Amino acid sequence: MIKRSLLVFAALALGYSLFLHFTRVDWDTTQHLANGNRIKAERFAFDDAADGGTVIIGSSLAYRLALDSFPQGTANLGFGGLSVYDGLELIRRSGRKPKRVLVETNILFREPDRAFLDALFQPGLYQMRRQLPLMREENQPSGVLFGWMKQRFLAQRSPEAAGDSSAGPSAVMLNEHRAKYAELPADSTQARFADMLASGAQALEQQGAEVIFFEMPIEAELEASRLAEGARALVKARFPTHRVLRAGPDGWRTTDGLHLAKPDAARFSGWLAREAGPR
Amino acid sequence: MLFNSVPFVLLALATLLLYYLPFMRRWQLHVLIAASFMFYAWSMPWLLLLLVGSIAINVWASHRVVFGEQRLRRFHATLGVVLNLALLVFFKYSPLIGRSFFAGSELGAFLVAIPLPVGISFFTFQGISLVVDAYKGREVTAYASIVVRGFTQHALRITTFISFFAQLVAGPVVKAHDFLPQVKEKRWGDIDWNAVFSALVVGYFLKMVVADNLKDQTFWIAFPYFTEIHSVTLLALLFGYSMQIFADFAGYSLIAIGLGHLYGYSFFNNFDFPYISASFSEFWRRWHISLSSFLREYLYIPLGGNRMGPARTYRNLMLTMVLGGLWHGAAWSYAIWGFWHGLMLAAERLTADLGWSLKGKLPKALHMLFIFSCVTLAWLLFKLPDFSHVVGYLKAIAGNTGKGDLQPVLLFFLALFSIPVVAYHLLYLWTRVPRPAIAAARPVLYGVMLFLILVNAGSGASFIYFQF
Repeated sequence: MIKRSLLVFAALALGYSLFLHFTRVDWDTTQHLANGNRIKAERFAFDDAADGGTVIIGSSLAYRLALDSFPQGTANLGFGGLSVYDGLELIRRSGRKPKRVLVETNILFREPDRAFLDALFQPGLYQMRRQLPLMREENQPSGVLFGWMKQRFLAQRSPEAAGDSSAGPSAVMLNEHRAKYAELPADSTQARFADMLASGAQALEQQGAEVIFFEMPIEAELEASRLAEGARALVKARFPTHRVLRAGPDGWRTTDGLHLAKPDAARFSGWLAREAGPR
Repeated sequence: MLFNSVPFVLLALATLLLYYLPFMRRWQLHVLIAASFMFYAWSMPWLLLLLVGSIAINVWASHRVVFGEQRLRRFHATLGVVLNLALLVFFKYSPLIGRSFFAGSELGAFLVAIPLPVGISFFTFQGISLVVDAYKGREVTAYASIVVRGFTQHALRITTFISFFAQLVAGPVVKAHDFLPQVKEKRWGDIDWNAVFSALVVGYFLKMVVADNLKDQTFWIAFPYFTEIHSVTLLALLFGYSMQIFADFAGYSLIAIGLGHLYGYSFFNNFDFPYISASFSEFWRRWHISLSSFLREYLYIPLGGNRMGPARTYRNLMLTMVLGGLWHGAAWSYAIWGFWHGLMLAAERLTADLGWSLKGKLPKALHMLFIFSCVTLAWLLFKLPDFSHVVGYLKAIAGNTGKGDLQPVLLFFLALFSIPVVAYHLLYLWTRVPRPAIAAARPVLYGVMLFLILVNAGSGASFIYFQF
């Protein structure tokens, strides 16, 4: 039984490799947030052409930025549920040398998730994924199947149907965010995060990258909260000579108080691409 | 160290090689113990002190029970059980006690800060089983040989029994009288490779492909996200979580069973297609069998079981299930979960005592569905340990009929990754009468599962039962 099972396994692996080789899977194969994070991280780490381009790092807020507004080859390392520190660490561990790095400053007080990058860079598996496309997250059969079905049957859905209604954030979500944004971490904790950010930025600059900070628009009430003000003050104190980009109030709509609705994310992406361009 | 991590695979392979080398035969227990200690200490080395302490208590107590002064047998057995329970209560329930009774005080803050060592619920239960079995050794002939006279040999055997990495951190809860008689020299030629292969492939498939992929979808059960999700999707999420928790724990148990076989030890099946149960008592004979049989043997029966009239039987049932619930986690939600199951078991017993029974296929099938629904609903207490969130979720199921869209993406993946668990159960129902076609298809099924483990694993995560 074992031999026959291994034969079936080998046949499937070979067949699927051939399928991936001869079929151009150019549709979105993202299945969920964690899977989307992993796909982005793998693409960045495995893409040798990523050197010399622009990289955006941040949290789920920056995750929504639309890349069509940015120069070709821009990578968005805005990771849902993670933070800038994971993006900085990914750049370091993958050995990439970007020319410009846009750092989102909204979520500065969130611990890096070591497990996320440890899983990506697991010795042995990392090299296998690099060499064997069938083992990459973006080629998971469930994602490929779903992406194909989505492209075929759901492509015409309107943004409203996709959950980007203009109804505004719900009271429950907003209350949760209000409570979280009303508190600032202890000074020692803030200093620790500031050191982490400074050493990451310094490492990038030492290899010739320009580091630009930017803030994603959120609900006005949250934008004026203690946490948001604290993050802003931290950046100002630690990076007084850097470019810090912040769009003024312009009727930005969010889905939950924090994340821009799709059309607004596209509009903000255009603004950010213009402002962050070479001076 | 996780079963689904590269370091573990390397450790298991290195141990296997050393373990079966002909000149290492007399050191097999030492090899297994060294590997198990490394496995346990991998991320938090200080935890090893606790494990060694627990082992020392049980080695000493069980040896004293059998070979100590006869008039002190009962005292040593009681002391052994009490020390095991004290360890469990201190490390597992201190935060709950601190939060519930000493909130705001210094003592409360100290109790809340005590960390939960992984696997403590499992290895203390195994310790209790050892001490009790050693005590019973005089009456039950089969138990007489579990404690040997030589103290060093006894210590080696017990350390292997408690620390064996295959079952150390999340079970199955192996009983002393099942494990210790198996301790003897093992030979490479005796390995049942088919049993190892099928248990490992199905186990890893259930964990890495089914549970880990469902986990990334059922994430949305958390507060406050569920407040914004449509009722139908909330029900689908609950169904998905039910599939996930089965796949996660049954997967872990199968991997443990496969590893046990690899090193020459047999563990009983821990899951026996629980979601086809037609009654709550049947569910508990099929779900986490090692725990339910432990509770039956070491708690329910010593409490009197069903031998002392209906009132005492119901009391014993409720007590066993509430304590069983609390065993899962240090939060009142787990006690409520146990209470719910106890209530259902008691109600079932009452209807049986009254002579009510279902006749006909359709009523029985509907009853099966009812049992599954009740069990699934109760899993919410596992997913949302804050009871107010459980109530909120139930309210959202009832009230969110017009909220948001159905989220077809979520529904698609919940359905897709639930299929293996549903098919697993349905296939069992269908193949209770042996069918040659299914046997012939097994290599294809295992080949497909292996392929999906390689290319379609979800984002790695620890096992749900690690937190217990």
